[in-house]
Amino acid sequence: MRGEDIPLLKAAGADELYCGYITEELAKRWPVAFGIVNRRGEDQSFEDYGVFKKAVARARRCGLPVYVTVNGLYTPEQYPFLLDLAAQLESLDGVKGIIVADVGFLLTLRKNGFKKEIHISTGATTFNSRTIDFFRGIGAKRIVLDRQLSPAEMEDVIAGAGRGIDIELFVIGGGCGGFIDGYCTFFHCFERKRAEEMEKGVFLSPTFNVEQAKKGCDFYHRELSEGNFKVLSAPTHKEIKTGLKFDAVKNKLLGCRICDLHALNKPPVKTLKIVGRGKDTQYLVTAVTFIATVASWLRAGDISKREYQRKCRDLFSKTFQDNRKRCTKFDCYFSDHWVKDEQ
Amino acid sequence: MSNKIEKALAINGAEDIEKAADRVYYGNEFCENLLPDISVLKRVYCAARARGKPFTFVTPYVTNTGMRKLECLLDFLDGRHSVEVVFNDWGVLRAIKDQYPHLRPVLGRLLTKQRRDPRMARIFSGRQGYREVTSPDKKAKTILFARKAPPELFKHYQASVINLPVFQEYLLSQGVNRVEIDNLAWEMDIKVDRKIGVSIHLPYGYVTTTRMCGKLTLSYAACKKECHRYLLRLDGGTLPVPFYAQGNAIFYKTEAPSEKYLEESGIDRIVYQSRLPV
Repeated sequence: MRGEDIPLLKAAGADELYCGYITEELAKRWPVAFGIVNRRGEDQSFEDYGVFKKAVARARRCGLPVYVTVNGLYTPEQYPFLLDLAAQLESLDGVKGIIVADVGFLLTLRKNGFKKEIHISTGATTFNSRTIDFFRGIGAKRIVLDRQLSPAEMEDVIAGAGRGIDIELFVIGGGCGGFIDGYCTFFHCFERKRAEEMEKGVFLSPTFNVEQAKKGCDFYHRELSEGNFKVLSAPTHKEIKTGLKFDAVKNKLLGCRICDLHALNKPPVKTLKIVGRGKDTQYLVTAVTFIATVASWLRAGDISKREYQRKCRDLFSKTFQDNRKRCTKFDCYFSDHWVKDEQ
Repeated sequence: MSNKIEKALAINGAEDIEKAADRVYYGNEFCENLLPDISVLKRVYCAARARGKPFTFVTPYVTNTGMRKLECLLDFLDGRHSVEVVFNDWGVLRAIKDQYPHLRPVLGRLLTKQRRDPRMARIFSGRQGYREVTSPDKKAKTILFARKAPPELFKHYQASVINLPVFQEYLLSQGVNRVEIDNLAWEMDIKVDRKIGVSIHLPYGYVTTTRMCGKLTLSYAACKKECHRYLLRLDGGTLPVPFYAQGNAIFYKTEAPSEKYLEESGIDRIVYQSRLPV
């Protein structure tokens, strides 16, 4: 989210905003590129308090509450700086709450009497109704369910969620490249490219990741596709020849769940979440308009599931594919396909 | 190996129990499809009891369907003699606290949130040198050189949430007296209250997991228990340690640290996996 995007997002139909904010002291010690403080990488969070404060004020004037992602995994020496950040967030009327993944941080906020809402990130891996009970019991107001749940599984979780907590679902935008974000410990190094031209055509660029090691999902799939993994039998670990071919399917969109909303759009589901990290203004406005349109069909009611899903696929194709192709089950966050092969 | 460090063996069936030294670990941390049938669990548990081996049941993250299956298994284990249950899902802890007062919950390694990727060792080593990258049109060249990482970054990678006093207090308040960790590819910093035991899993640390097995194997199919047939290994190049992929999880393999290091780190149990824990 950038400050100048806010009125456009409001006009497109957004009801809330979320963003990252990292203090200078945190960024100096734990480089933003590694996603330590939040999981966004360089250039994807506010890092200037004055700019952030203005953006929050602008959102407030537009009637849009702001939630701030502080969804990293923390160690004790970070806490004085995290609590300073929390204090800054508490001082801003336009910030309604904080999104966390670390149970230790949540417990600390509660112990310190943090006054804003605490939401549970998808990084806290909520796969069942009991986990919702757990987080409700330690003070959470809202939970973002994990993306790797099928529509039927999600419906089951929502039915067992009980009262006193809201549910949020990711509905469009990137997800992790196949792994469960909250359990994934592959490193990511998302750096903003900085290059200084030394002479014509030659640039010097400092980087933490000189060897340009790819993020885990890309690294793993590339190595597998290039045949660099050996295949061993289980359990003897002897090398075996198989007819297996390892070809990675290229999916550009990496995540959508709108077809499932016909069944899932009921209390305590409160919010539909769009991934905006790393996206430009045009994409953000397009995505918000897209979801607002879908939500309006659901609010109007009296639409069969079949008709609703047909309209979703048509709109998806028109909005994101220039009507050139249709979505497939691999564009869904986690279709029923992964639980049981379709016949 | 010191007598102070308990030796546990992660087994795959009753036939492995005789090889166990002090304790038996049985179960799976990653996949609800691999939860054992109740008849199998009973056989394994009874075999362990017959040989006087304390029993730890290891559980994965679960959907509601998995939770219902798990509850049948926990029903059996509750009330048995001092059974530990390793949980890797906060909902499972909640279930244990609500319904199974005799089970002893142990915080699993998926919830201790260590930063594990061994490839970070190259960044910490300061030995990356420089690299030249030529543009696709061959008209420009970029020389990448190392940007110095602050010392706090490495310290962060050495530790995890288990070092946090408020988190330890919470665990103790929930009857959790033990946490499980992986051995990292660099020296660890573990500071845990003496009331909480620390188990280290060797030699396989986990890196990541998924519910889309078919994406891990690039079959793009639903589970067909490929994990029972084959696994994948990658080593060499700039990797500091080999990687393995089996079923729905990716692992790395480390050498066992010294006994002195384990004792000084406050580790009082080794969980030895004779094969990948899938």
